[in-house]
This record gives sequence, structure tokens and C-alpha cells, in this order.
Amino acid sequence: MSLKRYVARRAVYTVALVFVIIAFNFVLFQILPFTTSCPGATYNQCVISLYVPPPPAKAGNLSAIYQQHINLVMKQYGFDQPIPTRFVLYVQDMILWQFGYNIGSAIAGPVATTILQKLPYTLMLIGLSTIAAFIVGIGMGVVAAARRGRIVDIGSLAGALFFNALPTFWLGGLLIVIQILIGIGGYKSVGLATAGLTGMSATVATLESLWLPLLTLTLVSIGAVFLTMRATMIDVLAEDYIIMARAKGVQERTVLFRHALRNAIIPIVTLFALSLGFILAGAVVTETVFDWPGLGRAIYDGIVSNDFPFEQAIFFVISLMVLLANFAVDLVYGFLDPRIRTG
Amino acid sequence: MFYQNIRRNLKIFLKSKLGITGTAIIAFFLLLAIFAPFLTNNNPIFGINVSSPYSVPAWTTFIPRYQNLPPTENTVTGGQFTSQGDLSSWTFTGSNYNDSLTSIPVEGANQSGILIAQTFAPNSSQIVSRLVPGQPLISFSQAFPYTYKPPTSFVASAVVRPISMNNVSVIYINFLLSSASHNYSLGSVNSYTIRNEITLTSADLGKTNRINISSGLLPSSGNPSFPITSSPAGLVFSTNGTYHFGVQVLAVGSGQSASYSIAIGNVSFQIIGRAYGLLGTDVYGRDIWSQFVWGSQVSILVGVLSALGAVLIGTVTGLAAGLVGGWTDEIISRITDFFLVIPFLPLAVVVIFFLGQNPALFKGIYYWIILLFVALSWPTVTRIVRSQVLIVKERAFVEASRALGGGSGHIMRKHILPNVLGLVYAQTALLVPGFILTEAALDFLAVGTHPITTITWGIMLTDALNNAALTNAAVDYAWWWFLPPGIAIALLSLAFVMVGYALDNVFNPKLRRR
Repeated sequence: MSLKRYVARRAVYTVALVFVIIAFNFVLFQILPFTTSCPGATYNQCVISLYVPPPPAKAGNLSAIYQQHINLVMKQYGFDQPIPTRFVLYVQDMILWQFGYNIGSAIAGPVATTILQKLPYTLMLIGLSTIAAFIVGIGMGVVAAARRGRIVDIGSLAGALFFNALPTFWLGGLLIVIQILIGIGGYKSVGLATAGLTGMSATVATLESLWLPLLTLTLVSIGAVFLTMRATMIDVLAEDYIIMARAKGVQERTVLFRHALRNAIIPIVTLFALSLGFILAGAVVTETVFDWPGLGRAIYDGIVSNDFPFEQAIFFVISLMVLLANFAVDLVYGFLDPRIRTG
Repeated sequence: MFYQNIRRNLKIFLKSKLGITGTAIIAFFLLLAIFAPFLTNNNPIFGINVSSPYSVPAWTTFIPRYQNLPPTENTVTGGQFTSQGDLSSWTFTGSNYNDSLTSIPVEGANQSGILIAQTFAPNSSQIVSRLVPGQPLISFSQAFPYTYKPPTSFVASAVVRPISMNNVSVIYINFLLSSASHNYSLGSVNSYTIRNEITLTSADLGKTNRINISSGLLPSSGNPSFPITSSPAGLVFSTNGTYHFGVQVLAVGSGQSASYSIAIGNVSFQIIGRAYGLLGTDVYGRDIWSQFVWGSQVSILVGVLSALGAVLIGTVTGLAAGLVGGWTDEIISRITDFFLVIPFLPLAVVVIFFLGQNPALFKGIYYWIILLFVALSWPTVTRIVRSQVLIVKERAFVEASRALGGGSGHIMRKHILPNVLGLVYAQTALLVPGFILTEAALDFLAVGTHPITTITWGIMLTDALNNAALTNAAVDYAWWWFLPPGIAIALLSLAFVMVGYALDNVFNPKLRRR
């Protein structure tokens, strides 16, 4: 298989998956009934009834006008169409980034705008913590593999397994308490820290609020990187070419970082793609605990305030992000490892 | 031969410290989950307040900071009046009265009690007033020592039933409480009134009345380590020493001769303490130990059932893909590819959100969560099993067996399955921690959306976070509330990882050499 065909195949596959996600969303939110917010109604009827307030109890002939109004809105949004037509409209909306409006009390405005507003915060948190976790995890993995069975290895292994087993929100809460106990002072959420500040000082305050969620997310993500890195390094260090390098008197540091690390890094690339979903999951919880104004916190607020236009849109957007990241990694892989192209 | 293998493998497993430690921890939590009904009497969800809000665990009172914090206790002995011994534990004052044991119907059942009867000559020339001479006053009381810091509150209670009233218009019941320096009446006209007295008239004749007088609770932010002086209970129990608690009966009559009789039972004086049980209490004064014990059930159930389900489906599909090959393999592989890229938590959130909209579906939320976990994680197992089957299939001994005329069923049973199963056991154990952690995270995200019908460790942690227990320095950050569920989740997850690694070691000889 040529590289072109490989890329084309992955692209078709990714697009197909996007459609499956959209179809899943459509069935879950547009076809199945909602009984809490609007008993017996589907998503559309529910949205309509929320947008068009019902007439007063003793309205008399007003209710006919009310019904007309509803029918008008139903028609305007295409909700009176048969399900296949509605599905086409829905797919169109998703592609055009038309997600409707937030209906919860927590956030207001178009869903697409909300997502774009909150995305940078999440990307900042996820990006920085992923970089930190990968640097520390890879470094620790190399050292642990080189010192296999020694105290450094056992200690970091135990530490990694321990942090891997901690609930994210528990660790977050614990860090808040520890911060208070060691006398740095209480944690301030971004909203509180930047209140009344503008420009440079607002940025500084935001960064001050960032470090604790960043630490939490990094600590829970390090474990997987470390364990993978350690395992591959141990495999690679047993290879003949490492013995050869050592035999000809290459410095240990050069052996580790030039010969071994280069070959052990490939599985880490896969791990990055696979762990994106998990890091996002961690971000939802971390942002909620620390009141960080990103997508994760918005997901939580959306659940609490029954904001379903936002929930279905965010699921679509996050899935899209993960799928694109996987696609990107597939491409990188194609370049990195010739066997995949040809095999 | 198969059983020999099991014995040999068990031997290797038992030699591994990791495996033993992990198994012990899992066994501990399993016992906790199974024997939950016997380990605690308190309802974990809508349980009554067993102690003050933020009571510290009882065993921590050896720490100077928590020293002498009172436990919750009933100071009264013999308040049930079941025997003469009970009667003699009280000191009676008054004149011209009779007391005897009797029974009182309370909510359909009969309880024992004391019957007090008295005949007296009211002084009719006086205006009827409770404290004037001539009105009979009977009381029975007993002493108890108090050697703790002040409690949050106290509750005096009894069951009373007026039997007869001749020329008697009112019977008053008071609870008496006295320290070395003060006499308090929990309902009287003197200056230390806490509540108004209980007034019984002829309308109450033959009716059982339940009396509860509480000194009132403190705000929940009360500091456990310093004396509470601003509450009635703090004022009353500000010093250590001997206290007296009793019940006073006072009748107001008219005419030449008056008489009455009244039955009293179930007398108790409850001091609501600030140290309780194994794990203390939460922000509402509910028992944390019972929440902890019952919470273990959901974590273990969700973790283990999901792993078993995922491994079952994954093994079957993996075997099918690896052994049959061709189109079967292609279809199964494409499906697993799809499931592997779905972002787990966002999907779970969307599904839970949807379930929250349908209360009928939401009742079985934890079964839905298990289904979701199985649906999203079997592909991982499929992949592992498939690749293992592909490796084993090409090995020389399989070829040899085929050459000797072994059928595909024989080869699968005798050669492929034993080589795949070890991996499957390890995978089952390694899957569990992820499920336990994700379930806790889902609780955290979904708690606000629905009424709580099952207690879990995740819900406990969420409760603690939502009630800002973690930033409340006045209650020492409620460490007894926040730490146990988190430590339990971490320990249980870690234990499954340990067992998984140990199993991996047993069934993966390659690993053993390294």
C-alpha cells in the first residue's frame, strides 16, 4: 500500500466514524423521549416548549394562537419533517457548526460561541499537562529502565501505580487542602482571581490559578506514560544493538538517549493518541473541582442545568477532536514506521 | 493434567508478594461489601443524624486536639421501668403518692412504664397557679457524671399517658436538669427555661404522648476542638462533675379532693456527642462508616462485573477473529477500531445525561453503567486475545498436533485456550481499576442531576467536595470524611493491579525471566 492510499483509507475511515457519532447523537437526543424536562416529548418538542412559553391558564382562545406559534417554529426548524429528512438537516447543522442555543441557566448564548470561548482554557490545561506528563514520564521511564530492580526503579514504579489508582477529583481536593496547610493560602478559581483585573495582571492571576489543576492533571497522567516507557525501554535495552553499543565502549548516557530512547519512543506516540480521550476525561473532572472555565466545567454545568443542546454538541466536538488526533497520529505513524505503509 | 497446571500456577502465584497483598486487600473489601448489613445498623442514605454534624471518629479522642469530646450517649439507666430494679435506680421526692410498674400502649405495642397516682386536697381559695403551695409536686431523678467537653445538644424524651383526672384540670410534665451550681428546668417558669413545659389536659386522657425536648443544634460549622459555649448545651455542660436528670409531675386541682394517675415510660436523656463511631459523621451528622461500608458494594460490583463482561465478549470475539480469520476477522477488527476511538467519559456523560431524563431507566443506573463499560472496553480484550491466538496458532506444537490428526476443536481446547486464558485472567484484573475510577468520576459528574438512591464512594467524595468540607478549617477539613473513600478507591484499584501483575507473571513465562 502506498502512502497515498494509506492516508486516503484512514481519511475515509475517520469521516465514517464522524458520521456514526452524529447518528448516535441524533438517535439519543432527537428520537428518544425526554421525560424529566418535558414529559413525553422528544428533544425538539422540548426545545420548542422551552422557547415558546405556554399561555396563561385562563387564556381561552389564546391556546389556539399558541399552537399556531409552535407549529410555525416547528416548521421553521424543520421539526415537522419525517425523520430521514430531519437527519439530513441535523448532519448539515453539525457540519455547519450550527448547534443551537444553550438553554441552561449556567451559560447563555449560541452553543458554538460557548465552545469557542471555553476551548482555549481547556487546550491550555490539557496541552501543558500533557507536555509535562510526557517529559517527566519519559525521563522517569528511561531512568527506571536503566536502573532496573534498584530503589529508583521500584520507587518510581510504586509511585506511578499509586497515582494511577487515585480518583482525579480526590487528588484535586487533597492538593487544595495541602496548599492551605503548607501556608500558600486557599485556592482561588479563575473567576475570583481575575475579578476586576485587566491586561497583564489578569493574565498573571489566571496563571496563578492554573498551577494547581495543572499539577493534578499532570500527576494522574504521568503513570501511563511512565509505565509504557519503562516497558518498551526494558525491551529495547535487551536488543543486540544495545549490547553492541555498550561493548564498543559508547558512554552509557549516549546508549540510553541516542540508541535506546529513539527506538522506544514509537509506542509513546500511539499512547498519546489513545490517552487523549483519557486526558480529556481527567480535564472534565479537574476543571470541575477547580472551577477552571474550560469545556470540562461547562460539561458539568450543562448536566446540572439540563442544557442538552450543549451536551450533544460538546460530545460531537470532543469526539471530533479525538478522531482528528487519532488521524494525525496515524499519519505520523505512516511516516515514522515504513512497515505500516507497506504491510 | 489441567488440575496439575492449576496447582503449579497457584504455587507460583502464592510465592508472589504482590499477588498475596493484592488478594488480601480485595478479600478485605469483599468481606466489607458482603457483610455490610451486619457491620452497621445505620441507613447509609437517608439515615438519621446519629451524632452532631462533623463529629470526629470516636477512636481519635486519644489525640490531644480531640481529647474529651463527648460520645453520643443516653445517661439514663432504668428509664424503661421493666423491673423493680429500674424503679430503685431513681430517687423520688414528693408526698402522698403511689408508684407501681405498669404498661403503656405505644404505637400498637405495649411498653413498660411507671404509674404514678396521687390524691390531694387543693387549696381552693388560691388562684390556680403552679408554684403556689398546696399543689402536689412529684419528681424522680438520678445522678450521672459528665467528664467531657460540652456537647452540641441534648434531647430529653419520655412517653406519658394520663390515666385518670378527678377535679384536676392540668398536669404539667417537666424535665429537670441540675449541675453543681444551677438548676435547670427544661420547661418551667424560672429563668433557665429552655422549652415550655408539656401541658396535659382532660383531652389527653387515655392518649399516649411522646415528648421530645431538644436543646437545639449548633450551626454545622461548630469547631470540634474548642468548647461550645454559645448553645444551651454548652452553657449547661460547661463544667465537669455530677449532674442530675429527672422528671417532674405537677397537677393543678380544685375542690375538696382531687386525684390523678399518669403512666410514664421510656425516659431517656440523650447527650448528642461530638465523637462518633469508626469514621465520625458528615455535614448532616450522618454516620460515615455505614456509607463507607455500603459504598464498597457498588465499586466492587461495577468493577468486577464490567471486567467479567468485557473479558467474556472480548475473548469470544478475539478467538473468533484469530481462529476463523478472513471476513470474520476483518469485520470484528473494524468494529473494535471504531470502539477504541470513542472518547469514554464524554460518551458516558451523554448517556447518563440521557438516563437522567428518564427516571424509569435511571433506577438501574449502575447496571447501565456496567453495560456502558462493557460496551466500550471489550474491544481492548478482543485485540489482545486475537493477537495472542495468531501467535499461538503458528507455534510448532499446534502444527504438530494438527499433523497427528487433532481436530480444530481439540486444538482449540488443548492448545490455544490454555495459552490464551492466562492472559485473559490477568486482563480481567487489570481492567477493574479503570472501571472503579471511572465509576467514581461519573458519580462526581452526575450527582447533582438526580436523587441519590444508592451510596457509593464516589458519591461520598462528591458530597464532601460539594459541602466545602475541604476548605472548612473550623472542622479540620473533615479529613475523616474525605480521606477514607479516596484511600479505599486507590487501595482497591491498586490491589487489582497487583493481582493482575502477579497473574501476568504466572502465565507469561517470558516476563519471569526478565
